[in-house]
Amino acid sequence: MAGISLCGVSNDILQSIDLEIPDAHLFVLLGPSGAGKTSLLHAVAGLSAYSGCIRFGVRSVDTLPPHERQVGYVFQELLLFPHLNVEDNLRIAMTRRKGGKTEKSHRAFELLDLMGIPNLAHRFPETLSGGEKQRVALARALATDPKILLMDEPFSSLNVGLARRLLKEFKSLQQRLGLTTIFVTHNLTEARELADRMGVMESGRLIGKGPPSNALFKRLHECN
Amino acid sequence: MRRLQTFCFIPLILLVLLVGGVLFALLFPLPLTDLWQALNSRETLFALKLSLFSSITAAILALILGVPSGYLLARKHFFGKMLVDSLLDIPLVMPPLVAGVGLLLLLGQTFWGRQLAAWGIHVVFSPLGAVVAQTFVAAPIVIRSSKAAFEAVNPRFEQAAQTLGLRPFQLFFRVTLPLARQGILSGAVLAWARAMGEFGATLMVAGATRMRTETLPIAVYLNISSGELGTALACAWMLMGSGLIVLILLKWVVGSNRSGLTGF
Repeated sequence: MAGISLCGVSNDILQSIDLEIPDAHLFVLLGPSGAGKTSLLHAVAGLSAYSGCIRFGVRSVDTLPPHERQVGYVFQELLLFPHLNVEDNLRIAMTRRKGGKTEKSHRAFELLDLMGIPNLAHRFPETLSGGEKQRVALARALATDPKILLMDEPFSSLNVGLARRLLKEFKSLQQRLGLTTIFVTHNLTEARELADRMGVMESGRLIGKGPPSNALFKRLHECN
Repeated sequence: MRRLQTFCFIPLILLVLLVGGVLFALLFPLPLTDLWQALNSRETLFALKLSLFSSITAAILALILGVPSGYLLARKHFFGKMLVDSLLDIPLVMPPLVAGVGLLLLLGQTFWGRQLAAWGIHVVFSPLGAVVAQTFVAAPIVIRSSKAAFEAVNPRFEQAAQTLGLRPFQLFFRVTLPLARQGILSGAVLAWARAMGEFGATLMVAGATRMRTETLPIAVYLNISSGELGTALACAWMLMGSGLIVLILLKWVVGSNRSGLTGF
């Protein structure tokens, strides 16, 4: 596993972002729509161009294309491939992994087990409920054996009760796996429950960062 | 409203009578025994084999050329794209006979035509000419349908695939292409149908030589010209059969689509 460091990351939307996330920490990124949260995740994943530098641990990833960055990304729309069943959605994420079909299937079932959904392996995404899709998307992101996990408002389309339950499960899973994570949300309560560290973005800039107990977040909470 | 609907029935009935009349005229002008004999004649079977060979080859070539072109036009911005896009539409609106004349001149009298002949590749007035002519008219259909199909695939799926470790070619063959398959298959079926029924361009490039460049439409033309109605009708029946196959295939392709293209 590895921490992430960003120095002066800029592009059309982002303005000189500096950020250090220690290894195995869960960093929650807050901010209104259009603040640049998703753009920051895209830059980290290599999906958009940027200037500045990004390191996973001590390794610079600036010249690596997205498929070589070993980033697990759960998109807001989840983007499960509709032409593949759940098992194949996971297996396609193991393309770069060594091993035969049986080993990959075994690993897919391990991950589905971890998510508590081994019974969904042969179902197609269109037949899954919202919560099931979230779990499959997370399992798929983990199937890449990622160094870093990026989560872009993954629970925003779920009802409050289910979102809270999944959030708790996710937090415990992230701690168990010790996976460095950037979690984007616009829900402050959710952010404070989840975060080891937090940051607030506005107009492409990171305007504040620190532990959830930081005065800025308390003030934001009071305003909410 | 009722008056309008009553009025609209008149053109509808006229069209149904016309189509029904044409089918009736094609089906029952000769005794069935004569038609059966014509269906089993050497000439009819040759025309069927050549038509199937040339149209399937043309459809495959149209797919090989048209799918990557459609993908590029759907996904990539490049200098002169609009011009290229419009240029590729020309075969769709060009009269087939004119397309045939163009191909005949290009492949017969220009440097390229002479060069091909020097390498032993004789396109003009040969069965290969039928394949070339049919590919020329079928490829734009595949390009159009592929372009539309790729445009309908949410590009975010491709981003997701990249983060999952798929290289560009793996991404194309395992994610983009399967998601666009319905549109591409529909285009391929229509392209095959277009190639199967192609007459004007084939006549110009391949010529109309019995038992050599005689596709089904050319067999209809040759036999009507020489007054052999039985063979002409047998070939016409086979062309109608291929049209029926197209309808069934299209329904199957559309019906077999189990996945959405837009998201989750």
